[in-house]
Formats: sequence, structure tokens, C-alpha cells
Amino acid sequence: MIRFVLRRLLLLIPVVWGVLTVTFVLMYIVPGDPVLTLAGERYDEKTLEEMRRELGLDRPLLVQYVEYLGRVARFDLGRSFMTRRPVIESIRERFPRTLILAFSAMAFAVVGGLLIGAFAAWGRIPWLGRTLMAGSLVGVSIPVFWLGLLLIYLFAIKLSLLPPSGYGGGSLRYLVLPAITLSFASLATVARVTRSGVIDSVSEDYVRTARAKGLGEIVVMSKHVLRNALIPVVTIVGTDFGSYLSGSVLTESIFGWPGLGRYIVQAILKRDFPVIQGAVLFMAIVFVLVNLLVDISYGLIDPRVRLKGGGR
Amino acid sequence: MRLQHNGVIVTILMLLLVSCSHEEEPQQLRLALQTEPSTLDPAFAVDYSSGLLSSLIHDNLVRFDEEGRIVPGLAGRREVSADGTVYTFNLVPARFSNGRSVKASDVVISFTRLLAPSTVSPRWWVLGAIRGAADFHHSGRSMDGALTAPDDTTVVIQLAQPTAHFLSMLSMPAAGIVCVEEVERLGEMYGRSPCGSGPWCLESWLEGDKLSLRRNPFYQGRAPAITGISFRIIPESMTRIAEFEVGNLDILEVPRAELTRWRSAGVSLRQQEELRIVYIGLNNRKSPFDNRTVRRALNMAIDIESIIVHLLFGAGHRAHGVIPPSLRKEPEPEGLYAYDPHEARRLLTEAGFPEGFAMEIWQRDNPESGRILESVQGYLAQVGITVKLVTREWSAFKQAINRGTPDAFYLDWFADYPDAENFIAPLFHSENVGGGGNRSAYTNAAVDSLIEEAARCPEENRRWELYRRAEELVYSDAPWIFLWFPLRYEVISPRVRGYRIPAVFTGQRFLEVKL
Amino acid sequence: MSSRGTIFRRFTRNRSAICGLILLLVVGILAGLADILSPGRSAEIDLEGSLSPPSLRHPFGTDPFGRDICARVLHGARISLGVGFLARTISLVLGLVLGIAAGYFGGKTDAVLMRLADITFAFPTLLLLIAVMAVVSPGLTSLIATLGIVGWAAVARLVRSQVLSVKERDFVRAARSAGAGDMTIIVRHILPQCISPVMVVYTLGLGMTIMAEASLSFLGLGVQPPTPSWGRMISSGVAFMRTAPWLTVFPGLVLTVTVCSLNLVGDGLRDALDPHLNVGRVDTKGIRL
Repeated sequence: MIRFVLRRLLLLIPVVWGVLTVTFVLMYIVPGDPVLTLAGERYDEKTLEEMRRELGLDRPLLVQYVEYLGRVARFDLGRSFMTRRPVIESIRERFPRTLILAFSAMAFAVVGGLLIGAFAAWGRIPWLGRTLMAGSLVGVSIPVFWLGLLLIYLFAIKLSLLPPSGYGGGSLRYLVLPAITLSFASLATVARVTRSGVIDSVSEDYVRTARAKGLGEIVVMSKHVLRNALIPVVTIVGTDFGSYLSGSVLTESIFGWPGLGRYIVQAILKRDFPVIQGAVLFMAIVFVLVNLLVDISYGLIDPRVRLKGGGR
Repeated sequence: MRLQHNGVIVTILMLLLVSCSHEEEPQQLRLALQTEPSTLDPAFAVDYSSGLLSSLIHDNLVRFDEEGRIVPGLAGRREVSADGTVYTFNLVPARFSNGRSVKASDVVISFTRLLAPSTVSPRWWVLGAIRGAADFHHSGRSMDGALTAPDDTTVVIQLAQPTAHFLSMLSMPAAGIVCVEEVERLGEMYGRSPCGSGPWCLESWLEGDKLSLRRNPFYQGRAPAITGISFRIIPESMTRIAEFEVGNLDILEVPRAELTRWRSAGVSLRQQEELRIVYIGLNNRKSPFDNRTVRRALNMAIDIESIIVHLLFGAGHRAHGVIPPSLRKEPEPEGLYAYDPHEARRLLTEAGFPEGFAMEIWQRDNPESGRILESVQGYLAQVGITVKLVTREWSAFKQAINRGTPDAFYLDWFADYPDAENFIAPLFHSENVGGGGNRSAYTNAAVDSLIEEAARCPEENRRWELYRRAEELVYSDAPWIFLWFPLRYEVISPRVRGYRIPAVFTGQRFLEVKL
Repeated sequence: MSSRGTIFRRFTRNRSAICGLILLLVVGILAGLADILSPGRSAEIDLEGSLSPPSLRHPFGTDPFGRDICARVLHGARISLGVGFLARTISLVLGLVLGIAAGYFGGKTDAVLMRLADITFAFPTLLLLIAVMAVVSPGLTSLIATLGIVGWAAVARLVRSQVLSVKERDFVRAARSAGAGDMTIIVRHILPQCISPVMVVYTLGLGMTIMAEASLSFLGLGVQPPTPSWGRMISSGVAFMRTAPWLTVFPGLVLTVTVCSLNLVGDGLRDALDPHLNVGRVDTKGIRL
């Protein structure tokens, strides 16, 4: 187990290096220039050159690249060209918000998906089960920006139940709409996997035994059936959670959520190199770590899974 | 995952649904910004949001009022020498938001800082008219007494030559007076915790979410009626509308696509002509746009009035020139380019393009410009010109138009100050080709010399006459397809009184606003 | 594995999958007939008739230019479906080739390719997209290319795991000991075993790609005007959501129905091919925004 984790952590290094290098190369191939954003309107070429010199952009690319890798190795992500704020400070501020949004979205998806899937598998009210399954599928098939705006219209304007947008200083009411919007991406899959998992395990012996013992339907369902169906759900939760954590640009823009997604997109559009590099690096590490956690959790949930790279 | 964990999730869900407290302060004006300011440091504030907020926090020697007139700021009294090159300002007693009183040396140091080579401010040119400023900026050579503070309340500025729009320049956000110790203490981070002598000071800044200003307790003028202003950062316009509708915002700029709805909603919809012109710049260096007849033909091939009615929903005046009507001293001239596709075709034939040609129009990604250019594409197709639209995001777009890559580009120009000079000199003087503002690379020696003469001219009517003549030349040369002067619409919540849309964006300081 | 007949029977017994397939066929046929059903009308500009609500003449209403939305939805189908199909095909080919190479040859090839896949997964799509858009000229080609490129890693991973499980099976060993070369083994024995999971991933990913096109349009990075694509129509209609909802509703509905159908067919395929097939889901990181 420990050897497995260590091996995977070692693999982080080439991945991170690769991501950094690709980012670096892309930033310099792409047209556009950070000093153009910094300069606003009305400037001459001389001023631009002075600004480039100040930011160290006039040095040869290789020098900039080596210096950059050196800084990363010392865990120094530098400062934003635009705001002069240390990148790490902004990430520290924004990541928890992205985390809480990702976590709540996942919670909605899992709870909703399990309920819908189990209900559909249960099969007592077939039309309702089918409608719910279809509904979850529609949720994943609507463009997320459209869905978000429709939800704002319905819940904030028409029904005045929830605030339309914003972070609200961490107040939970503000979390509901963006979390639901984001959760739809996973909800349908969770529901589908749960449904087939439940249908499979209902025919298993231990469930029959439980039924024969005269246990109530709900007890059987929750204690024996759902538990078994949870394993594939973890896979989905894992992969999706990883991608939620890198921030969801559209959901964040629509709901004015100050997370990582908007941070990096703004930086890309303004060519704020240190922010792009820092945020990409951070997201890559988080992504790899989450996947590692998912792999470890397989081993914990399902003893049949053997982790490669060493015995348990 | 165990079932107990599900229990935890359910608890969280229930918590989520429980409504929480409502914390808005009643005396706070609530506004929205589309983009977050990148800095509140006057020397680096170049975008709209940064300029707006930094000018609420910092005071200038002179500033604009709501109508765009120059009024006293920190300088209560000013004298200009007879030859127009020496400006003497007398400061009123004022204090920074940390309580220290503003001295004349603060003005000198703030201005020197803006110009200093070590600051690398992109806005140093705002004070470029000061004698020796450009030399000082580029090589660090001393300005040799051009900028002095003989005593604590007097500032004397000497210019290289009379510059009629110098006071307008002094009103720009970049010429804000900063608190010197704070700048030294904070260095690069001054832009995140600024300290000025303006009516407002920064209370909190939650990145990506919200900025709050509160009254500067030491402000020298009458204290504002409201206690603070909050600026929510909401990138999406439909979301801003929703926030206004549920009552979380006090003022909303109405996007044009929504105008019909708000016009019929019976709310107080304010209208203000923006000091802005929207145009399609033609690359005057490139064939066939180096041909005046072709450029004139293009101006006649598009039914601009119809676009204004149907795609802008009436929110603009067709531009028959480049100086906005509100800056004119006389009625607008007659338009030269009425919509006439037959005449356009004839001109194209005359110029040697009976079959038309193919061209690219570049735009930055923006749904509205996309709509407008799609119709332009349709109109030009009718005179045989095949238009390919090229969308680039802002940075790449700006680089391309500075370099003169595109055949044509859709762009607008926002006034920094309400003066005809601001529409003529940067946009059409040959020394400003490229990043200076003249992206269509229009060069005309006659226009250049008119602009130079006007800049030196102390007499207001004569100066206007020179600009008017320059504009006339430009308009008939048609380096652009002249489109329109847009109108800005805002809806105001009924609880707000005493607000009006300013002519220049820094003109509204929310001093008279009551809730 | 099941025989073809069983697969077909299983698929046809799945009512929702058949439903999805029929809907897809309808959309496909309408897209194919767009020129006959509404010749030229999708580009006709008529500012006087701008933003008229649905009527007999314009069943889906008109857009700000007075263009018929129904006609544009039909023409847009070609673009949206075309982008999806081509981009997925690129991902598929890249993923198949690289996945088989990684799984079959193992060792260094495998290590390098899988690290490349990790990098692709960990990399923000949007940055890549802006980069490709900027270097190649923006528009349909670069959109297809980028969406195709970012999708390769998920396919390659899946194919690789499939190859790993097939590689050591008896029939492959037998072929190898009979002296078959690598190419022969790959084409004859390995490739056919990869087809089923890949088909499922292809279909499900198609829906995601069409959605991605819509999201990119919203960010201003989709196809260029005046080309109609559903994503572009929805995103440019968003400003009119409250004043002229038909601009977003109709293309939005058609897009949703299509993506839904693709998902239904994909799920049906998976169940028919092998209910326990190890395609837990399509890993969509890299496409979702």
C-alpha cells in the first residue's frame, strides 16, 4: 500500500513537469501579449518594451523557462502580472470555494442519483421511476449555461426562493443553485449505475435471505442492496470530483462564483503568465492526487481490487 | 462508503436548504461590475473598473463633475500664466484616509512617481505635457524644476508648450494623488490597499466576489449621504439583470437586447449619450483600402440606420463624423454617406472593383458585435464584397490590430476626457499609428498639422474650429466605416435618489446619492 | 462475448435505446434534407422581420436578423453533428492507435504514452483550445481538431486496459506461437476485441462533444458566424432569453433531445454488448468545461 502510494507520488513529477512545459510552450506560441492588457489604451512601443523588461519578458525563452522551473521547485508561484498579488494567495483564497462547490455538487449528484436509481430499480411506480431517470438524463443533456440561467429565472426571480448569484460570504443559500447546476453532469450516471447495480444485487442470495427473514423493504434496500451498488458509484464520484475541482468556468461565470475556474480563464484571456502557470500546476497536482485517492478507496471498499505496485 | 456517510450528506443537504441571515446594510449603495478591477493604484489603473474605483478613492487636483465639466478637486484655486505654460495650484485643506493631511509635496511626489522610469507606469503620458517629462520618463534625466512645491499648499507645474487639454489630463484617474508613506510601505501591493484623499476608502476586497467602499472619515468635503458602496463582480449580464430584479442591486445598465422589455415595464429608465464611437476601422495601408473611393463606397453599402433600429434597438445615433454630438459647439454636419448600394457599386466599379473583393473583418469575442457584423456581412455581400468574420479574444485581437494584420476590424473608442482632442488626436494623428490609437493607420499631413496647432491654441473657439476642420477632412477621407455613438441606459431602483449617469465615467462620485 | 445476433436482440429489446435511435435518425434525416426543406432561408437577412415570435410562416420564430430559426436549426444540425462526429473520430483513431501501442508493447512505450495521457487529463482544455484556435485559423477546423485531440486520452486508456486483458488470452498466445507477427496479431485478434467498448465510448462521447461545442460558443470560441450551429444559436440567443425566448428554446430543445438520444443509444449499446462491460463511464474530463 505504502509502496503503491509512493510510486504514484513519484509519477506526479513527470506529469507536473509535462504540464508545466506544455503550458509554457503554449503561452509563447499563442498570439497576444500580457503587456497589451497592462497598457490599456494609448501607449507607444517604447513603453511596452519598458514594461516587458520590468516583467522579465525580454529575456531569452530558455532563460525564462529554467528560471520558472527553478521557482516552482522552490514552491514559489510568483505574482500576477496584473494584480501583483502572489498567485499562491489567490489560490489559497479561491480553492476552498471551488472545493465547497465541487463537494456540494457531488453530494447532490450522489444523493439524488442514488435515490432516483434505487427508486427506478425498486420498480413499484414504474412511470415515476422512468420519468425520474429520463429527467436526470435530460439534466446531463442541457448546455450548462442555459440550465444555470433557467434555474436562476425559476428559483430566484419567479419563486424568490434563493439568491440568483454570488458567494454570499459562504452562506449556504448561495450554494444551492450552482451546486445543482454542476451536479447534473454526474447525476444521470450515478442514477443509471445505481439502478443496474441494484437490479443485479436484488437477485443475489443474501438479499433473498434478508427478504425471507421478513425484513422491511426499506431496510433491505438500504442495508443490503444499496451498499453493494455503491462501488461503481465511487468510480464516477472520483473522476467527476477531480474535474469539478479544477473549477467549472461556465457555472462559475453564470453564478458569479469566485472560484478557480474563472480565475484561470481570466488569466488566460489576459495572458497573465504567472497565474496561468501557477493555477495549471496546482490543478494538475490536485487532479492527480484525487485520482490517487480514488484508486486507494477502491482497495478499501472492494477487497478484491489489488493495487498494482506492491502487495497490501 | 458506509451508510453513516450518507447520513452526513443528508444532514449537509438539509443545512443547505435552511435559509440563512440577510446581512446587507441599508445605507449601502449596491452596484455591479462586469469585470474585477486589477488594481486600485492610479499609476496602473487602465481598465474601466480599476479607473472607476481608483478615482473614487483618490482625489485629483481637478476633476470632472457629472456633466463632464472640470471642477476644483484638491486644488481650490488655480492660475495659468498668460502664455499658458505655467500652472499654479492652491490646495484646499484635505486629508488622506489614514488621517494625514495632504501637502503639496504629496502632489509632486505622486506625479514624479507616475513619470519615474522605475515605476514603469503605462499611463505616464497623462503628465507628458510637463516640461522634460518624456526625458525624465525614458532616461531618468531631472525635470529641472518643472514640478515644484514652493510651500505646503502650492504646486507649480511648467509645461513644455501651451497644452489646451492639460486640465482634462489632470482629471484622469492616473493623475490621482496617493499617500506617499503608504506607497513606500506597500510597494507593489499598494494597488490592493490604496490610501487616497477621495470621498471613499476601501473597506474590503474579496477577490472575484465583491469590493466594498466606505466613507473616508477625513474627507474634506461634505460627507456623502450614504455610508458605503458595494461593487459585486458579476460577469454575466443575464445574472446582473436577475440580481437587479430581485432587488439586490440598485443600479443596472440595461443591455440593448433587453431594452424593449424595460421600456415597457414602466420603470425609470435613464438614457445618456456615451462619449464613445463605434466604428469599423479599415486598414489604410492595405489594398484595396488604401483607395479612398473604396472606403467611401463601403460607408454607403451598409444600412447603418436600420442596424441601429433593429439590432441596437435604437440605442445609438448614427455617426456623421467622429466627435460625439454632446462635445460639439454647433449642430452635427450633414452626413455624406447615406445608404445607397447602387452608388456604392458604382464607386467600387470606378475604383476598379466591379466584381467586388473578399475581405476579413476582425472582432473580439462579444455576442453583440457578432450580431452587428453578421448583418454588415449581409449588406456587403449585396455589393459583391465577401466578408469573412474572424473572432479573436481580446489580447490576440489587440496585438493583430496594433500590427496592422487585419483588413478591417470592429472597435470602439471611449473618451478619457470630454474634449474633441480626445477623439481626433489619438485616432487620426500619424504619430499614433498602432497602439497609440490610430489603428487604421490613417495619415494625412493636413490633419496632423491641424491637430498640432489646436493643441497649442489657447482660444477655445479657434481650437474647436481647428478640430472641426480636421474632422471634416477625416470624415471625407473615410478611413473607417463610421457607425454610431451609442446610448447608455440604466434603470435605477426606486429607493435611490440623487443619481444621474455621468458624462465621463469618473464624473459620478455618489456624493449626492441618497437611499 | 456474445454473438452478433444476441447483441442485436438485446439492443432491440431495449425500448429507450430504440427510442433514442429513432430520434437520432429523424434528426439526421432532417439535417440531410435541410437544403430541400428550407432552401437558402437560413442566411436570408430581413431586418424588418426581426425577432418575430413563432408563427405559421416561421414555426420557430425569427432571430434578430429576421432569419428563420427553424431553417437555421436544420442547417445547424449539420454543423453540430458534423463537429461531433469528426472530433470523436479523431479521438477514436488517436486513442485506438496509441492505446493499442501502449497496451501491446508495454514497457517504455506504455510508460511514455500513459504519462502523456495523464498530462492531457490534467491540462485545462480551454488553454489548449485558445492555443489551437490562435495557431491554426479559428473556426470549424480548429474546433474539430482541438475537441478531437483532447478526447484521445480517455479512449486510449480504455483501449489499453482492454488490450492488457486480451493480450494474455489463449488465442493470442496460440497465434503468437504459430509465428504470427505483431501487426497480424493486432489487426486480427486485438483490434476486434476493442471494438465494443470503443463503440460505446464513441456514442456517449458524441453527446459530450456536441455539448462542448455549445459551451465553447458561449465563451466566444465556437464556430464563426454566419455558420449556424446549435451551440452558437443558443449562446447568442441568451441575451434575448427574456424578451424572445424562442431564440434559445428551439435550438436548446433540439440539442437536448439529440444528446439525450445519443446517451440512450450509447447506454443501450453497452448493455447489449456486455452488461458487465468494464466501461464504467466515459471519462469526459477534457471535454467538460
